[in-house]
Amino acid sequence: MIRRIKSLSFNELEELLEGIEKPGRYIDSEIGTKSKSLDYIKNNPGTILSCLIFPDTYEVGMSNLGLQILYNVINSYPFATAERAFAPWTDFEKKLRDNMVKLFSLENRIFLDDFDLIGFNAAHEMLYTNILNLLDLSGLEISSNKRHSIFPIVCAGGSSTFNPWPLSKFMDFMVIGDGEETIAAIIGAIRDFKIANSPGGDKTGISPVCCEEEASLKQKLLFSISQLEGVFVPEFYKINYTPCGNVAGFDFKSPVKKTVRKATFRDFDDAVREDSPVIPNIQTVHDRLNIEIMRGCSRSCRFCQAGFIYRPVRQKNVERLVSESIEGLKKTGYDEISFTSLSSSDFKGIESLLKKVTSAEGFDKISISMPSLRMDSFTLDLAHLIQSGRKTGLTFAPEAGSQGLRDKIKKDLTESDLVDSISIAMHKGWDKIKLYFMIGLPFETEEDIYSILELIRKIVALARSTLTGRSIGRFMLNVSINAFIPKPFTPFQWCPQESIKNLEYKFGIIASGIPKRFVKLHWTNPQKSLIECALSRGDSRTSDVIEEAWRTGAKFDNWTDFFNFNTWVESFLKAGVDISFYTERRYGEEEILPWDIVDAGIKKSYFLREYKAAKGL
Amino acid sequence: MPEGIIRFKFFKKNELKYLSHLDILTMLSRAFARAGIKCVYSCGFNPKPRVSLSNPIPLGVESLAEYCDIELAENMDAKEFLKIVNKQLPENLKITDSINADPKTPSLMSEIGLVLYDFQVTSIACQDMKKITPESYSSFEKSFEETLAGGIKPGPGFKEGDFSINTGPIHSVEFIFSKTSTGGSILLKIYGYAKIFKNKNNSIFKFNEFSGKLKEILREYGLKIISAQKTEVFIIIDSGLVNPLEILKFKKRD
Repeated sequence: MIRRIKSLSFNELEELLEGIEKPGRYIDSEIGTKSKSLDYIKNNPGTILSCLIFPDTYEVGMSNLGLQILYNVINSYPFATAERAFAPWTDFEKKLRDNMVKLFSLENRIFLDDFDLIGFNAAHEMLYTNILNLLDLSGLEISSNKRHSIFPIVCAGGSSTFNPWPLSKFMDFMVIGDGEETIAAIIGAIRDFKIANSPGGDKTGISPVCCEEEASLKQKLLFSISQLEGVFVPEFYKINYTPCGNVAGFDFKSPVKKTVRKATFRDFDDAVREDSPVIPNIQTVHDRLNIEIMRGCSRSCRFCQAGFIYRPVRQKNVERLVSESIEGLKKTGYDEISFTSLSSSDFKGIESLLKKVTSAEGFDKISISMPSLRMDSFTLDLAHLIQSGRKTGLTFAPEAGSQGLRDKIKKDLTESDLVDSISIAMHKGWDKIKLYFMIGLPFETEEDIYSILELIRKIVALARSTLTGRSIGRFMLNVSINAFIPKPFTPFQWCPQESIKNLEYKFGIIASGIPKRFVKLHWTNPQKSLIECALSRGDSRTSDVIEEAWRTGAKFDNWTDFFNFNTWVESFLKAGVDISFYTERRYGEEEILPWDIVDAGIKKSYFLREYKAAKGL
Repeated sequence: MPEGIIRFKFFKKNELKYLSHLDILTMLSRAFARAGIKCVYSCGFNPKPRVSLSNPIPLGVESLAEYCDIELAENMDAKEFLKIVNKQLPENLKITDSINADPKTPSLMSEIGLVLYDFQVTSIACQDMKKITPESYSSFEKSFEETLAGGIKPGPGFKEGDFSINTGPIHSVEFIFSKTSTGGSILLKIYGYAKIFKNKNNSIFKFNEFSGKLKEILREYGLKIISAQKTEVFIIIDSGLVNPLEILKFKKRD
C-alpha cells in the first residue's frame, strides 16, 4: 500500500517566501541532513514519521546539541525518519496564517499534522507559549484531550520537563531525562502498535470504526509508552490540592508507576557520534562544531538545577573525543569547535584533549571555545592551549561577590583563585573577560552586593597594572547580572524569589558603582525572571496560565522585544492563579511539591540537608 | 602573497537561491576546508580564507553565473580543484568552470561591467496564452522601450557602442519572441550595469527596482514573469563582451 503524505511543493514555498525576512530559515538543502526521502516513505508505508521541533527560530534551534543527537538516533533506523521544524518568525507566521497554510517540516515540507510523532524540545520555560503557537500553526488542538486522532502523538522533552505539570494539559506524553535511548524505545513502541493494529503495518491501515475505538486505541498506545523509563503520560496522573492550594497528593488513573524515574543514558562513554551534524545554511547562534565531552557535573552548587538533574557524571574517552573532533572538523569544515559540558575544566584529561586537537595537522586556524570553564582549575597551560588558535573572550562565573555567600551557595571558589586566573589570562593577552553574578540569592545581604562591586573594581585595577598600551585600550570587562531563580531539584527549591523591587535596588547599587570606562553591564529583566520562576515551580493550574498568555498574544518570550510582563500578570489573574504563590512564597519543608512525581535520582532529604547546611553557615 | 589564484564560476539554484552573499561565502569556505584546499587566510582576529565573489544579487534570484577568486597557499590545477570541491558542495550549488590565474589578476568586482538577467515572460492565465501574438508582443516591446529603456534600440547581437543612449542602469536589451501553438512567450534579456563608468553617466542596475517596474508594465498587457535568472556577467573590452573566465583565457593566449 502506498502511503499518501501531504506536503508543500517547492513552488508553493517560493510563493510564500516572497518578501520574507531571512528566507534561508525555511529551506533545507543543508549538508548532513539524514531524513528519508518522500519516495522512501511512500514505498515503505510503515516508516514512523517523526518531527523534532525546537520552538524558537532556526538560528537558535540549530545551535541545540540535543536536537542533533536525537535527529541522528532516529534517522539511524531504517523504519523511522526524523525531520526538523522551528518557530517561524512573525512575518512568516502571518504569511502562513493569511494563506491558511499549515506549518511544515524543513526537509520534505510535510505538514506537521501528517506526522506520527511530534517532539518539542522544552529546553526552558520561556519556550512554552511558542510550543502552543506551533501546535496551533500545525492545525492541531493545543489541548491533548481535544486531539482525538491517534496520530500525531505529541510529546516534549528537555530540562524544563523535570517539572512536567505546566505543559501537562498540552502533551500526550513527556520525556524526563536523557533522550537518546528513550526516543528509540518510543519509536519502537509506536512501530509495534502500528503492526499490531493494522494488517499492513501501515498508518492508513488503522481505521477505527468509531470515536470510542479510536480513543481506546490511543489509550493503549499511551499506556505502552508510559511503561518506558523517563516517560510521564499526563492523562494518567492528577494532582489533588488542599483548600489553601498546596499539593495534597497525586491520583493515578491506570496501573502506572507512582513516580516517574528520569531516563539515564548509561552508555554515554561508549556513544560515539559517528554521524556529522547537520551544517546550517545560514549563520546560527553557535555556528560551530559542538562536541559534548561530559554529561553531568561533579560540583553541587546549590542554586544550579543542571548540576543535579544531569547526574551522574559521565565523561567520554579522551582518545575517542580527539578522533571525533578531528573527524568532525574535517567532515564539516567548521573553523570553530566547542567542547561542551557543565564544567569543562573538571573533565579529566582536558589538557591532553586540547593539546591533541590543537596540534593536529592543518588545524592551526581552528578556534576553540570552552563554555563553563571554572577558574579554580583554570591553568596557565589551558589558557595557552586555547589561545594558540584564535582568541575569543574568557568567561568566569563567581556567581556571588563575597566568600561567605559563595560558601552558602557552595560555589567552590576563592577570590584568590579568581584573581590569579584572571591575572594569568591577562598576561597571556586576553583583553575580553566576562563575569557572571547572581543577585537575590538566599541569605544575601546588602554587603554581599557591595562585595560584587569590590571584586569588579579589583579586576579593573589588576587590568590597569597588568595591561599596557593598546591592550588596556581594548580591555573590556563584561559583567552579567542575573536574578536568582529557585528551581525544582535544587537545595534552594523551597526558597522565595526576591521581589522585583529589591532586585532593582540591588542592581542599582552595582550599576551606579562600577568603573564605567572598562565595564559593560548586562542584566536580565527581573520581570522575566519572575515569570520563569512561576512557570518552573508551577503545577497543573499553570497550564491554564500558559494557554491564557498564548491566547493574549504571548510568544517568543525569551526575546526581549517580545516578552510582555503585563500579558503574563493578567494571564495569571484570569486563570485565577496567584503568581506570588509560586514566586515570593517560601515552600514548606513538609509540603508535597508538584515535581515530587518525578524521581530525578536524588532524594528530597538530601536537598533538605543541603538547604539546612546552607542556612547553618 | 598567494602562490596562485583560481577563478571559478558556479550556479546557485532552487532552495539555495535564498542564501545571502555571506551565507554562500561561509558555505564555500567550509567546502574548501572539507576538500582540504590550502587557502591563504586573512589576518586578524577571525582568519577566513581569502576569497572574493562577484557582485551580490538579491535573495531569491537564481544565478548561473556567480564567480569567485580564491587565493591558494599551495597552487593546484584548476580542473582538479573543480572536481574535489564539487564533491563537497550541495547539488543546488556547483562549480561549472574554473581556471588558474595570475596572482596579480584584477579583482572581479573592479572588472565586471555588466550583468545579464533573463526574464521569461508569459500570459497571466493559461487560457489567455493566445493573447501573446506577434501584434501584442510588438506593442509590448514598444511600450517597454518607451517606459523603461528610454529609447534603446534593442536587437540580438551587439557590440559596445551600438546604442546611442547609455545613460541609466540598462546597457541594452534583447527580446526573443517564440511562437507556440497556443500563443507565445517572450525571453527578455536585460544587460544591466554592474559598475559606474566614468565616461558613460550610467547608474548601477538594481534587480528589485527593475523587476518591480517590469511587473507593472507586464500587467497592463496581461503578462507576467515566470522566472528570472542571472545568466552571465561581462567585462567590457574593446572587441566586445567577455565573461570573467574568457578574459583570462584570452590573456593566456596572448
